[in-house]
Amino acid sequence: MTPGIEGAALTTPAGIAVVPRNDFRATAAPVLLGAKRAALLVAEVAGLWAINEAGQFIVSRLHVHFPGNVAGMLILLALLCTGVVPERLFERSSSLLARHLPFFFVPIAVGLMTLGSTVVSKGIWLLLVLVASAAVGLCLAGWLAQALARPASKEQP
Amino acid sequence: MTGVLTLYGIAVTAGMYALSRRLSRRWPSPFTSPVFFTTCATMVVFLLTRVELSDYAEAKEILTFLLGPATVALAMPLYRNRRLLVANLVPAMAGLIAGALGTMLTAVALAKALGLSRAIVVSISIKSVTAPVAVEIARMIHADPTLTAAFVIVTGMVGVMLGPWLLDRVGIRSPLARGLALGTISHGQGTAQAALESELAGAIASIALGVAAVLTSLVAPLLLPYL
Repeated sequence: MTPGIEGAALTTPAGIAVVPRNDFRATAAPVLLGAKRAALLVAEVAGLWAINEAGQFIVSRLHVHFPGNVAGMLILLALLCTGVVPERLFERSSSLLARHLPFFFVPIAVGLMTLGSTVVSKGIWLLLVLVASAAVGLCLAGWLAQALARPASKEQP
Repeated sequence: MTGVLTLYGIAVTAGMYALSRRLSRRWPSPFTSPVFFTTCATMVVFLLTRVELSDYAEAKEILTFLLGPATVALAMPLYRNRRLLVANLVPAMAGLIAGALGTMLTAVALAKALGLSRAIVVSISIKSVTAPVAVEIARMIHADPTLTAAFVIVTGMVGVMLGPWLLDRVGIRSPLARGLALGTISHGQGTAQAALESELAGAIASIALGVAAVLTSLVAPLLLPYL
């Protein structure tokens, strides 16, 4: 691309005009592309937001004890499974949100600032409960999944 | 004045998050993980610069706005790995249900046996769910979202630090079972750890995270009267 423009700049009398236009294109194209990507991303997130709102609305209307955002997740899953929403529609935003998920809930955990004394005074016991219950859950889930999966995988070969 | 403080709160949180991403890349450890480091560092900066929690309320509203859309987006890995779940439906669902219920009941029973307050018992019962869902369930069952978020974060760290070692010790070698256990118990952080072990483990962990969120959402309100 560049050699062709250079050649044109040499042969045409309006060479000065050609070169700046080329510069403009080279710098503006990525910016425009970036703006387009950003706009698409915002639109994708707005779509996810709307599904979340729909989930919240349905849950509150039905008076069921179920988190609205999980209802939203199930709605999107249903839309994907029925093919109403193609997989690529939310591809970019979903991976971005998943990658930076910690950032969005850190502000809630920061509230621990004022709960510090409760947590510190009971810290050892809380840690014991968390470690023991995680260990029990890990073993139960792992054992059962492995025990039930093994016969099936032996039949395969 | 509140506008300035809100901007300051957002800037500190975002700055610490950016720092944590660099730190965790250079020295990978549960203690440099973005969620743990950002929370602690932000609290330290606020304490040093005398920012009150009430000054941060508006920043918190703004920053947590995307939690809802982020939860909806969890449907994507579920959909992408649906065939893996269908192919292993019985072992995956059995392990998932046993693990999710087992960890809930163990946590509640232990916390009660130790004489911890009801507020703590309620918050700790949902500590194995991915954070945005745990916070939403906490609001629903009148648990403390902050306490819940803290328990969720620590559970994620425990799973990453203890999980692979414990699973080795008890002879769980199948990638499917390891991924399932890590995703069910230690949600996002467990899923990241499972993805390091193998692609299959990571995929099943991301399924486990989503299904465990649905399961716990259904069970937590039923368990509430007994807490």
